[in-house]
Amino acid sequence: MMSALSISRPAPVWLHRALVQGCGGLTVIATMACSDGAPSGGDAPKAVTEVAPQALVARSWPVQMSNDAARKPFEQHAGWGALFKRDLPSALGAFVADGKEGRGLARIHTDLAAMYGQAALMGANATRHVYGTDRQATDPMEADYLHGVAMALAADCEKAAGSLAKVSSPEGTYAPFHGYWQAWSTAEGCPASLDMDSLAALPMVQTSLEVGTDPSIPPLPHHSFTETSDEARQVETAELTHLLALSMAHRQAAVDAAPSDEQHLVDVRLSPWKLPILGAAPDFTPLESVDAEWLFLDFALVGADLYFLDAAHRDGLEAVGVWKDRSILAAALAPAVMPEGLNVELVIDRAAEFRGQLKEAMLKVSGTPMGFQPGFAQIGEVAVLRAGMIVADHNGQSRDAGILRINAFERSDGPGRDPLFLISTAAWDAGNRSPLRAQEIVHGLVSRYPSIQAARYPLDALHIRLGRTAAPSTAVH
Amino acid sequence: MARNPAWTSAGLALLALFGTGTSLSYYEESLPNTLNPLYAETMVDRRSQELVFDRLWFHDAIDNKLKSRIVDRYEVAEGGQALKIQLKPNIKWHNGKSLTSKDICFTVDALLDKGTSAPLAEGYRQVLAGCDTQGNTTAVVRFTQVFHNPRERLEFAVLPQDSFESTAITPDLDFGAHPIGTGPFKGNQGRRGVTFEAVGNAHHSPSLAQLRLSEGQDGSVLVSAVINNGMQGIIAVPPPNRPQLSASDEVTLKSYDLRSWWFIALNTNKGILKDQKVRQALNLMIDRTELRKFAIGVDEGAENSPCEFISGPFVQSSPYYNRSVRAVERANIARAESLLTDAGLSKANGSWTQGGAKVTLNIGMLATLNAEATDILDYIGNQLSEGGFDRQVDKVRADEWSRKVTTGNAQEFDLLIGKWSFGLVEDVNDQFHTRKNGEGKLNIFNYSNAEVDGILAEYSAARTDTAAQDAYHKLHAKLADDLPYLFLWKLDTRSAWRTEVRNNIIAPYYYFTEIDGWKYSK
Repeated sequence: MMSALSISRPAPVWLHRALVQGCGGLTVIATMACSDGAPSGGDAPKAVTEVAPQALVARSWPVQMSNDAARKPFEQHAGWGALFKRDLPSALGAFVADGKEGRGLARIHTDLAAMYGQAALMGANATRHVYGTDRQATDPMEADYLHGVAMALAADCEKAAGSLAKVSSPEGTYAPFHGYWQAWSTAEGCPASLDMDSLAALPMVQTSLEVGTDPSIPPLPHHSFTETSDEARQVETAELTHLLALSMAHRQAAVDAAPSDEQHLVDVRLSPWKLPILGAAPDFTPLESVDAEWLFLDFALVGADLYFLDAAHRDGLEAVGVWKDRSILAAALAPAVMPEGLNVELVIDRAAEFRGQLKEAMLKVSGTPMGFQPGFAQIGEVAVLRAGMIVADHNGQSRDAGILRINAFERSDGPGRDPLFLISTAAWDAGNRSPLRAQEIVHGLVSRYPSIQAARYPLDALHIRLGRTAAPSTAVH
Repeated sequence: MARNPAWTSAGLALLALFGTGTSLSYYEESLPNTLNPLYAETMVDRRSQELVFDRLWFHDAIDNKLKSRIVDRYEVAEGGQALKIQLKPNIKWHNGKSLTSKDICFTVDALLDKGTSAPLAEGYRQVLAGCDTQGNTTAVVRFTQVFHNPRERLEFAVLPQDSFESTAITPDLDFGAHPIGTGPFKGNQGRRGVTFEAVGNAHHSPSLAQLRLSEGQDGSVLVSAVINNGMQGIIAVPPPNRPQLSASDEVTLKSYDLRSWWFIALNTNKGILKDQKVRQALNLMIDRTELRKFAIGVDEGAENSPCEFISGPFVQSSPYYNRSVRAVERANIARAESLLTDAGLSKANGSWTQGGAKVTLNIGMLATLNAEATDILDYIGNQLSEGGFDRQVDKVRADEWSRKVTTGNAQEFDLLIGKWSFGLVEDVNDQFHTRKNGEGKLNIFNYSNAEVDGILAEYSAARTDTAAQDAYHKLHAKLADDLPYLFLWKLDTRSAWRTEVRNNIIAPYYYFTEIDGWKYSK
């Protein structure tokens, strides 16, 4: 599988290893299965459909990076190697070794900001079910506090204030947090932006961090509350405010690391994943050209895709029409826009077809199949599905958005296994009162990102509660 | 106008068949044991039954919303202790007869009838109190208490009253092979496979005309059949074959949310295995890392491994998993031998003896596991042989496993290798409780430990989630010490379907819940 790369020039160790792992994780079989990226056994060559204009596709990072010279600076940097493996902490460490500024650093801090934000959302979604719709009489008195914070993170001032007001005399570890959220939710003009000074004054809350680091939130559990049952057992839980603060700290670190005239790209990239409580980003002027370091291995394939995804999150279907001549993703989605909304079946078909188009375009540049190209093509397919998901979601097609999300999730393998998207899927599942896949996702990521453990408490509580009140079921073999 | 029900049924099926002409063939882990939904014993049973029957309520596979295909509207009645259900009109059974409220109440009565010996029915007896009809389309289902989520308690498959002579439904009825449901497909089980023919109905309009289930074979055979379009899908792709399918443009790998964990049950009532030290020694003699490498193809330290070791009866991501109990990953032969010596065994000429006689272990395995973990029975046998035990090995067919092993009637074995699969409910009381008074229904070797029974009773009596979690954490620690099972690993399940199969949403656990929307364009 690595022959083409190896013959032309020895590839860096990370690329060799990543290529093998990216094909499926099992070295021996992956070598056979990936071969050189050519169709396997019984696959007959398929006609390639033009999903996006060739000229646009030619400018995409997968095609650009099929050129040895363009790829060389990336191959030689361990930071990009770690990002290829979607190992964000290692990428952070490798990029900061070059100094505290740079697009690579800004990229990673942005992803971490989005990921911790989604982790907070996951915790909040699970909490609003456990201590809202599925609340039980034996829950601790402080369940109202937990529910209040969950509603605050969803920017629902009224419900947050209502729940927080039910806690008559907060005492102990959560009391300062209760005060903060009560002040926020009852303030004039709520949901106004967060008071960062007050947030930073809360016990052990970290609202800033050193560029190039990913500090963990304070040791868990953060709170222990007493059940209102005869046994008065202790319910241990986490303070989701820490995850929110960590997310905000990473965003600021990303802004600090980015070149001054490109700082708006941090908020543009964050846009689809931003928590409602964080409000709108400052106005900006789109760049004519976005540097490849903002794009390599990303799910925006050309610079305009970044702006399109930001617009799609705000404007939905309308953004497709506005950006379809500049953005590959918008162009891919455009024929699926129907009077009744986005046609998800068509999006799925076009995403698969786009993978073929991307493969062909990459091959034209490289001349010979390269081992990384199937992985890059798969990122392209997932990128179309994710973009469709964002558009459908904004258009009120929540179930359709879910179909696209699941399709994207199923194809998120190898270099496309983006922890941000995985955590956002877990948050979505928790919002749907469906904890099993979310638990698997968190379990798979928690050793690398220990802070997301905080969201595990409400997620586990949701699972136990739903499992104990579900229809009877028996184990089978 | 009166219509001949049989003619109507055939007509509907044919209409669907010729309407689209699409037939989809797929590999299952085995043939179903039964298509009677009361008696599902394998995941193959569950999945197959989902094609044939409608559950009263179900969760949407995408957004998890609670839905019903057969209930038009409902209201809470009798102070919250009942649910009044109005059925949708014009829903037919596969034999052409109309679905009525009598069928709903018949199903409830069957679940409540102690003559229905299904474990599932026993669970429903804690929830359901009765059912009355009000005309042909309205049923009032009563509960044993007020539930805050009554509809979520009613996910049973609805059965046709006319197909049974009594509400005492036994597992041996012909209904299990030739069921009649209101689901999107009519199932017919043959000796070599199952054919599901589409049945158009007021509440179902499947795009596929036919599904054909075949029993899975060797992994490489499955893969080449799908890549060459001889078959269109594989429900559970063996991990070593996944990369090959993943690399193909013709096939898509699909995730399937299912919690399955593997074990070796030890016969705690037999010979040397009565001694806890011997069980602990065997636990240390099994090198799980090597087993996983050779049988499943996962190397030590592999990232995103589909196979993860466990130390107790839950998957690691479960809130019931006690993370303070470490899984045994590598063999520790010296420690194992020390334990065996302490237990009174002697080693002579490389073989363990007791009272001068060589110890032979009779090892069985659920035969279908071989598809996911090739030759695992031999690997385990070899490890124990290298450890100094003679062994006999035997594969147990899935139907025999249901009939004999899970009912506690396979005492001739010393060790049995199996797996359990769960959905949202991870109740393991039936696996480990002493088999008495309806408890311990899945207790393979009739394991009995008063302390374990006490912990399981704590779990059952738990009023709060914390109490339940604490009880199962305690259970996990106790079982990891007492070892009625050697816990092996959880193994993810992934399916593969040809890309021509579109809109194929896979529902957690039940799999085919959204089958109406599946399409196949050759």
